[in-house]
Amino acid sequence: MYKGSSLFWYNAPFRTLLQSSEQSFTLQTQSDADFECQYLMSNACLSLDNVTTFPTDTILNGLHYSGILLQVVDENSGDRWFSEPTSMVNVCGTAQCPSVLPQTKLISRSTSLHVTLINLYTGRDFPLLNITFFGRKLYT
Amino acid sequence: MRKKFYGYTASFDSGVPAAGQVTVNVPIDKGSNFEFIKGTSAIQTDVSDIVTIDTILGRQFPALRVWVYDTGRGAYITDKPVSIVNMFGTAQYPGILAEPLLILAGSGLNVTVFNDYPADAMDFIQLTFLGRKVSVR
Repeated sequence: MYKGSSLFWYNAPFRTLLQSSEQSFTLQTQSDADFECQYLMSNACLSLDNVTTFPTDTILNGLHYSGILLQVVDENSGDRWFSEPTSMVNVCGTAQCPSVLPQTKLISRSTSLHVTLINLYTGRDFPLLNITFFGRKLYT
Repeated sequence: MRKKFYGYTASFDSGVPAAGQVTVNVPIDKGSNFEFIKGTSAIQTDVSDIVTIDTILGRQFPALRVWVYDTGRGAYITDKPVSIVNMFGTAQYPGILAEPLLILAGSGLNVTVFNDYPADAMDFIQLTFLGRKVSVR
């Protein structure tokens, strides 16, 4: 049984996801506590240049793109989160409009999460994307 | 009773042609039943680039209709195809069911999308059934 908890965020950053490509990041949960994931969030930048020149689309439209697919695999258990890589639009929210998991996901301490993004766009690179897991650390 | 978050996705990788229809089968794992709780959808009208209508929050394509056949119960879950707008949202604004819909272990969901737009093909569609795996052990 757990003795206490505290809110926590884990983040998986991706730098320059090229068009028609796949990129992975291994996220290591910390050793002091299990983690109960409650929200799944993401964002994607089309450009890191001067923000005042951004097309309005990139600012107003929720920072989510249908053609970016996500898969998360627990490397310790082999457990996949989705039956196949799934669009970020379908599974990720933002802080303002969070995607609350219908069932919280428990991740053991010192677990490696293999986070993979696939860019389906044949003509778009993304210089920066983040997948953020929000929930709470559970202490024994 | 053990419950684990999971998402089953029907991926229409080759899209759905204008005035056409495509069916995708989603097998449900044999080891556990599934409770379908939230429906989400992602659509690319053009896989080569970002199109505004694809990215607007809550964007809707009402002339896409979805018909889901549950092989476990041997029946469709709706009497006829329904607009995607009335069953699936996005992760940020999901289509939340009034109560979980139980899908039996080892069954399958045959998901058909009808594109009623006469001149607009959809390059890529994913429908995701978010919920939880439920097992006895």
